[in-house]
Amino acid sequence: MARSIQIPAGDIGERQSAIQKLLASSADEAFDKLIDFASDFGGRDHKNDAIIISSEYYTVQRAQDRAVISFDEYSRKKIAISYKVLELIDHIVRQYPVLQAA
Amino acid sequence: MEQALEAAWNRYQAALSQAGDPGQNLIDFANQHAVDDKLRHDAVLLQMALNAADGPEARAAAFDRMAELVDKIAHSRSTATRADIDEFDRRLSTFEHHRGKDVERDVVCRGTGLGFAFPGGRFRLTGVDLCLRAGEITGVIGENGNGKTTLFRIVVGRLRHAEGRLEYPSLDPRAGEAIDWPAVKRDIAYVPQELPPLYGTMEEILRYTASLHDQVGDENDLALDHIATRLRLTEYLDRRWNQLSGGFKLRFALARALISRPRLLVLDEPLANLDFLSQLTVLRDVSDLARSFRNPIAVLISSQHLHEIEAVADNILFLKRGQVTFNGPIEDVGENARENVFELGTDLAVDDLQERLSIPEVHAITHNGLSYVIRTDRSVTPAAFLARLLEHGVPVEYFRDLTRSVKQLFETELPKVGETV
Repeated sequence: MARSIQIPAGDIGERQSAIQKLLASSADEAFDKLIDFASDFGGRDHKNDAIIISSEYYTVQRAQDRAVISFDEYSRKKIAISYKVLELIDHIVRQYPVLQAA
Repeated sequence: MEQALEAAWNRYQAALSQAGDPGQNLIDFANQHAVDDKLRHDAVLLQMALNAADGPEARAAAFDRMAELVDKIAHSRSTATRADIDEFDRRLSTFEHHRGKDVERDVVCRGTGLGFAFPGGRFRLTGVDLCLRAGEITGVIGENGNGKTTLFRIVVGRLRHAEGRLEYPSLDPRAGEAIDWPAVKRDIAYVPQELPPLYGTMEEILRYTASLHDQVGDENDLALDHIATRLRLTEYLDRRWNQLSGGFKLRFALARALISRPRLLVLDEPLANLDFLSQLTVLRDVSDLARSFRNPIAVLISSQHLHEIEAVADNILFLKRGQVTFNGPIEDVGENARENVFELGTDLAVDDLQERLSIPEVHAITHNGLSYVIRTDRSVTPAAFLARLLEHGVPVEYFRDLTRSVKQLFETELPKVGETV
């Protein structure tokens, strides 16, 4: 096992928790991990949703970087997008046993 | 104001204690106890608010809201319906079922006693054993000209090995027969040290590569969106090769390699020419994508950035003059060391340092041009050694325990003065 902290790839609960915590501390990494999470445990639609939500986040991030939107507006949008992330990972976790059985 | 902050934190801690899980942060607490999804989501949003809090008043307010949330979570459990509790328990059991379960580590490539000699040249690669498994990263290190690229070219089928045996058990399971290279190469992606220029826009190149691997129509769109978003390249899809910086050239080369959905990814010195943050991003991406649960990839990577490689590699292969001097799990580096080795950055002169460290446990102090390398008895722990440095007034600018670091492999293999490599 590598020396950096690694969550076992198959531990769906730990990976969900890691995304939740990264949303609060390192959002870019959280969105990367969201796409990986959807690819590993979700179906095609989940993967699509993860890509769309991540794209939405990066669009807002770029707008903030270029001062197109105010910090308040950026914060509001980021919270709304984060909520979508939390709902998506919840949905994937709920669907996972069903997808696995199929 | 500090008192207000402390009071709020104490209320939060007290609330956690009352609910039975002291010491856990709010997200863990909510995941384990909140039956209502909204409360779990609120825990994340409150953690975001806390991290974004500007000043002690905002932090105190965030702590107050956290304490309220802890109360709500405790209350929601007592008032939840049977159906809610059952659904919550089912989700937790899903976690439990998959806790610690990991991917099956298929052997993608196995080499035994691999060797190669360039005609007329003095260099010779000999006796290399390899076992590359899906989901594992193998780091190949060694000084320049010691055979890393030669080994990589053998593994990807660009150079035919002269000695030993090479197999791809999960790519070409027909044991004992000649390797079916067309089939094997479809599952291998190679990113060489010198990136060849690509022609067309980056979107065209990625779409074309995906289509070569049977991803057409909607699948082609999804593959492009996936890799471009994942590697944060969406903004640059309309660029051409010569319009990209060195860092983005590498990211596109990586995207092109990954969009082919390889089972084996070979990266030759990918970190050269990247700034520090780009190095970390590339390594993190490679590590995350290689360890995918659904599509794990075996990765073979070379680099001179030892600290970064040892953070992500599961296995290390150290090449010296075409021969393997270490081959094994990263945990085994330094396992049989007879001395502890510490690296120290300080502006003290060597005489002064020697005087302050004149104890029998210190065996040798040398200078490698940038910092001191100090060899001690195995009984000297890093903490004890650092404490001694500080006690004796050594101004420590940098300190690192090299005993179990791959850098130690270089330190023990340094040629003597006048010796040619």
